[in-house]
Amino acid sequence: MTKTKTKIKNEFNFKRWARKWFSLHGMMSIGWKIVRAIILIGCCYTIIYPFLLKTIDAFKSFEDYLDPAVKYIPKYFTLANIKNVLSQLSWQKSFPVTFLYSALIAGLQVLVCGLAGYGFGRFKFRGSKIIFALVIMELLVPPQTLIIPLFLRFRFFYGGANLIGTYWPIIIMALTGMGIRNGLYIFMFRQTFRNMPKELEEAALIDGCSAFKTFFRVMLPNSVSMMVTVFLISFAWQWTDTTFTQRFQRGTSLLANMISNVDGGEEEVMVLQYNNTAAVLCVLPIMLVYLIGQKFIIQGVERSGITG
Amino acid sequence: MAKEQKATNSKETKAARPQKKKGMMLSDRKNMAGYIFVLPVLIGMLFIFLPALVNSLVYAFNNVSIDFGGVKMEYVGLKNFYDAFLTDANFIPVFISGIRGMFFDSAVIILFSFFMSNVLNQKFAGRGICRVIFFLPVVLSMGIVADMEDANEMFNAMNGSLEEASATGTFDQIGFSTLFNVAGLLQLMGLPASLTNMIGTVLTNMYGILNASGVQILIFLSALQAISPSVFEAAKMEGATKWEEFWKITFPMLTPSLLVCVVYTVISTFTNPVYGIMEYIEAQGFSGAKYGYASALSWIYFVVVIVVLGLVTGILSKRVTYLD
Repeated sequence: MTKTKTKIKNEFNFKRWARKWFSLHGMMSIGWKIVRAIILIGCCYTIIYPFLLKTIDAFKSFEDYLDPAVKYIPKYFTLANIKNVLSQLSWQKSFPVTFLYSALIAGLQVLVCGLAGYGFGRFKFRGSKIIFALVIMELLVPPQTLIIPLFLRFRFFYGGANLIGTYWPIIIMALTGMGIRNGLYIFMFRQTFRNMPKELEEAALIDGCSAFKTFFRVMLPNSVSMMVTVFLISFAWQWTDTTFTQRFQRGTSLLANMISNVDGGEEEVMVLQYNNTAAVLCVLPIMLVYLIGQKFIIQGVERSGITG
Repeated sequence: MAKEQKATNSKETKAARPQKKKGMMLSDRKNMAGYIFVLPVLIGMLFIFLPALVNSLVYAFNNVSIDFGGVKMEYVGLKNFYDAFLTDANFIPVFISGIRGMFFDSAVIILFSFFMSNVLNQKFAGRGICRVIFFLPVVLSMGIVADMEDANEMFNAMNGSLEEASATGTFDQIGFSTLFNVAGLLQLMGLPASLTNMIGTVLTNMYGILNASGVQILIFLSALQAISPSVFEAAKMEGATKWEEFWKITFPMLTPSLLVCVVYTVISTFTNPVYGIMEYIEAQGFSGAKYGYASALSWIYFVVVIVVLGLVTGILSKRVTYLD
């Protein structure tokens, strides 16, 4: 496709041009391109418009923010809000800590859910169906229902330790596959692994791989797209999670905690704008991580010789 | 495809053959490894999830009150469930609107995200940016951003004078329909009013739909990427058209992910705050201090969703094709 395009650009060939524009197939493909562009632009506009307004709001002075006539271009452009909010969030500490913590949790969840997904997808052991039904149930139960028993569990953890206010509760939840919507990740992995050709494993078995070696050497490298997807979703949800973080890990310097301390300072009303600014600032790093990560959602490994 | 069919058939017959040998077969021993793989999740289930779940089931049959002495329970049998269906005038309407919304929304979200992921998988200029934008709803619809919204709304409610200021800050519902009057345009073209109305509803709720389909698009996208390009090459060599490629390769390969998306969408649309079910249950539990009643309501919700999920997955799983 791209090759022909460049050729057309280099030397204008009327015949080819005519064939492209007046053949049925060419017209269809051009029509589809136009329709696709309209749909994509419309959807992107719908998603990004409110976020864009918020981003613009972050640069407005407070007079502009209250003035309904100023919408897209601030009259008094200022960075004071961002500076203020960043210092309120104590960003030198909270951003790196949140980044590392979210990455750790996302990594743990990918590992645990990947293992479990492989177990459910490829092995038929006694009770596997019941356990899997419970995994789906886990997705079904709204976190609000679980908060009180979970809080008590972490307040008096086995051995009487008090884990509330430390970094441990969510790590423990990630390790046991109980984190935010981990049921979804397990389900995603299970379906991915079930959809892989069995010949891959058989080949590994013949080469003398144990089940674990097969998993880490053969199955995981073949499901990079799914791993990256789970990692990105998990990272984003851990980064923005307030449900568990604010209740179990109060006092840690995670962003979700710091953000609830944002206030308006002397003028109470300014909290409105500060909240918006803080929300924008919190989302931007996730977007950056996604921008890098989505490059790894790539075409699957060649396995034509095996699938046949 | 035919080859796969044969392979799975032969496997089924093998599995169906009775194995009367005592002791462990190689396959059994291999399957024992499954326990090790799910061990972390099993521990979580046994020590964290199940106790909480059983607790809430016990609460549903009791009159629960929490005071300084701890949790007090008084066994009342099925009274909480009777109350939900016979005494409480608000629960049934909220519940039914939730169920109705769930079916309509799930269908629209699944179709939309399926279509969108196929579009986003094609090659075009600015694909990376588009993907990032479509990921945005995953972040925006919950957690920090949603909390900030709530905080601002609460602040405004307390200081009623500042409604003007908040109007610029909150997420307006802006759809296609504000840009172009698509429904009106279609009506001019002579399409029946019921159809254009439906399209109109979908378009005005575009923001909600886009917001709800972020995760689904991602799941489909990664499943699309997992398809080996050599399969398409082979199909092209055999002379398959794009249309045939889609229905014979892409669609069957996406069915496992379709199942995930359907389950996830049904659950997430049913708990969508628009329908107020979760809010109602929470209000009963926390502000009304009727924990037992709230647990009973959430168990009714569980049972209904489980039945719906059972039906849907039962129908779908027959059509799901796995490569194994």
